[in-house]
Amino acid sequence: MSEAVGAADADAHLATVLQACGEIEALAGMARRGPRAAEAVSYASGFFGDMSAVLRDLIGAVRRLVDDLKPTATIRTALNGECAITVVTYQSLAASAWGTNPSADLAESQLRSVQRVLALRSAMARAVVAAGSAMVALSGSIANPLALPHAIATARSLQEALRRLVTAAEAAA
Amino acid sequence: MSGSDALLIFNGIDGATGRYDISPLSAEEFVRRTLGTAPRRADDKEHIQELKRRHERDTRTHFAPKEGVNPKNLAEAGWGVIFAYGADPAIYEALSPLLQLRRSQAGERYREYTGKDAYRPATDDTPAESKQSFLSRHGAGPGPVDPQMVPYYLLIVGDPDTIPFRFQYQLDVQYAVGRIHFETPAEYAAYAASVVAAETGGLALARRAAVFGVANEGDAATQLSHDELAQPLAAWAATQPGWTLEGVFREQATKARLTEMLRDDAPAFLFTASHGMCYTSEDSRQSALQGALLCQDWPGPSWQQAVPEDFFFSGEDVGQDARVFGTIAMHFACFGAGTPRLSDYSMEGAPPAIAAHSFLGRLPQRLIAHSRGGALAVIGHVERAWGWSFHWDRAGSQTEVFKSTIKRLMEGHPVGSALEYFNGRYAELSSDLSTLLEDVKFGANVDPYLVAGMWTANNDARSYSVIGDPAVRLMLAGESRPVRRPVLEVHAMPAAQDVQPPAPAPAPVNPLATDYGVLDSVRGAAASLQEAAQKIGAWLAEAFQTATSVRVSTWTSDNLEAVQFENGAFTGAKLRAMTVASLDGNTLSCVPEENGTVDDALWKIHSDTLDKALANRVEMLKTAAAAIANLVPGVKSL
Repeated sequence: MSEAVGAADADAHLATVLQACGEIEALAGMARRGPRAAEAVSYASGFFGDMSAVLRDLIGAVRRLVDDLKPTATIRTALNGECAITVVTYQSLAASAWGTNPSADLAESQLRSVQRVLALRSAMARAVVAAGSAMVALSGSIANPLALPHAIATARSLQEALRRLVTAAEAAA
Repeated sequence: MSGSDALLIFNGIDGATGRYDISPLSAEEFVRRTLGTAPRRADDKEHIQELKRRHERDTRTHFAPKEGVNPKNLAEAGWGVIFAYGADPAIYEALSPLLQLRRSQAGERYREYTGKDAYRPATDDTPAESKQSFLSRHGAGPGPVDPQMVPYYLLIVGDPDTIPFRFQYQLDVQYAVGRIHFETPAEYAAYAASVVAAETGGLALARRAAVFGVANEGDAATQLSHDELAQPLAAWAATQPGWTLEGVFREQATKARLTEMLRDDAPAFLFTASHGMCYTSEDSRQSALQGALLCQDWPGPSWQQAVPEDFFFSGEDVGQDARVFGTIAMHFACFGAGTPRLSDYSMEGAPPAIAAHSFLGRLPQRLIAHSRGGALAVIGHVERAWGWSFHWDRAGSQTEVFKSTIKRLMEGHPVGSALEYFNGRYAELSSDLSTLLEDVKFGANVDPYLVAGMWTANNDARSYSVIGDPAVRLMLAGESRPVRRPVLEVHAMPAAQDVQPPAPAPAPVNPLATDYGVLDSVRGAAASLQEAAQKIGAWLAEAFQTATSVRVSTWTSDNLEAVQFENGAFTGAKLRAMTVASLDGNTLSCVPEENGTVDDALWKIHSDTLDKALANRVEMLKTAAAAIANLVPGVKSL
């Protein structure tokens, strides 16, 4: 795989992660906002039975996502016999190790990768916060039978968006 | 009551004057006025024919849809909802949970009369659609209900100006009919949520009934309703197997006591007998207070002044703390269920207007749309209630109609089906009355008191109406089913166009302090959600606790394969540049030198890395702020 193709793939994965993150943030907004009248149409009966399973799965998905968030990320780039290593953390630490007289191409390539990883981790953190925010809103909504169908639908969508996020994040890593 | 010299005293007290809404009349005067009620319109004549057919059928069989159809089973009896043509779509949406439930129960016998199938209100050019016209359009004719054509249970959705009370009365002769109308979609949604929660959430009320009987001093009407209706009903109800009865009579029957009964834990079935409050159409209080229940606090007819609100129980008195979820109430009171624009008590000539518009009583509206779980239905009177109807000699067994209806309710019959006894009585009395009035027209000499009694009984039976879904029933605890009356948290739901911008996250749920009502099964799920969210918050707090400063370091090594990253630093590499940028803007940088000069290439790499790290910190701080706002309990209250 050429460097250009690899970078394009990485950008595509990052775009998928950002899209999934955006969906989760939108769903969190929906969860906080509660149902519109029209959204109560679909689940008037029979929703009590599957609710617990949906919420249990959602909690599991969020926990897995949190577990998958690594405290540090290490970015290595090897180009034309040269190498560079950068370590980033959620505490805003970035440490880079370079060989003597690194080439401009290596620097550009490594910095692009760092940029991508930072964006990815930022998106993952946003997704976790959004998912947590949605869960707080859902925990209030499920006490209200009128809001319950909306909550269940939101939880299902959230679970699916989290699944896509994790898949995309694994591909991007 | 006997003797044609006795004065007829009517139920209903004028709130503005404290006097009787209709002055006592002699039987002769009453008959003279009621003769104006002889059929005036073609559909009236059709309706009387229908009543006669109904009466003939009732004398041969029992009340029910056609033979073989079980009225307690919606899959057999069917269920339909009638909207007015052009009804607000938001109402349909708000009722959707209820409609979905009924669709699942009635299956193929579920109908929605909307769009071109909807009820056709009056226009400038055409009168309001009659029952016969409506049924004909939908393939049904006179006679027993065939639920394959039109369902037995029919819920009218709309105000009585648009879908008149007359249509409801006429339809109710054969069908089990109820009506709802509220000012806002949120109230429709609240009612729908209560019914759905009651029928799917395990509501199980104690078999407890209460009779609230007012007997105001010197007031013949309530003395009679107390002695001849409330007391006998209470005595009878107390003997019903498995039921306990609370009788609240005379001095006990105060507004404070009724408030207390509804607030603490309303009985599963509540019967009240009292005057209903009346106001003129010019009085701004009419729509809010008409039909309110005048309690024992009223000193009686000696009170010749405006009636203060302390004397009566109105919709405004149904507090947020009322616990009426699942109750079915029956009010014997003037205008308890609603008020028509034109009086049914027709003087000679055109019937007088008694309201600017027809409307439902505020009290039943507030009871059934209560946000903490509403009553399922209220049975009440449209127009004036007539004190003689349960007493009149010829209809002497009129209390049997009450008893039969209440017995069906106690046995878990749907309220519309339970009310069939009143419809049967109406058919019988109307059939007899129409024959009698025809005799009078042709010169027959009849006892005016007989006509008066029959007329009042006829109107009384006709005008009992269900406010609510006619298919609701008391959800009762049994031997194997513990008593369970939860509190719902039914929040007003905004209509689509009223959706507000995203609000701050709701206050965290305290599972120990919140009653989840019928949703006890999700208590654990709510707690788990909270716990998981709090763990996320804790993780983020830890992850971001030192994110207030950015630390970027740049190292070089001749052998990168050997370097290791430990404790924030590389081993086996030389630190060449470092920058620490604090939130307050302080920045400390160590610049790389090579032989005493700045290594520009390395500094550029370092600077570019720093730029990216600073940009990332901005994003992470935004995320941290969101986490604090949405996930950390109590922050919003600071």
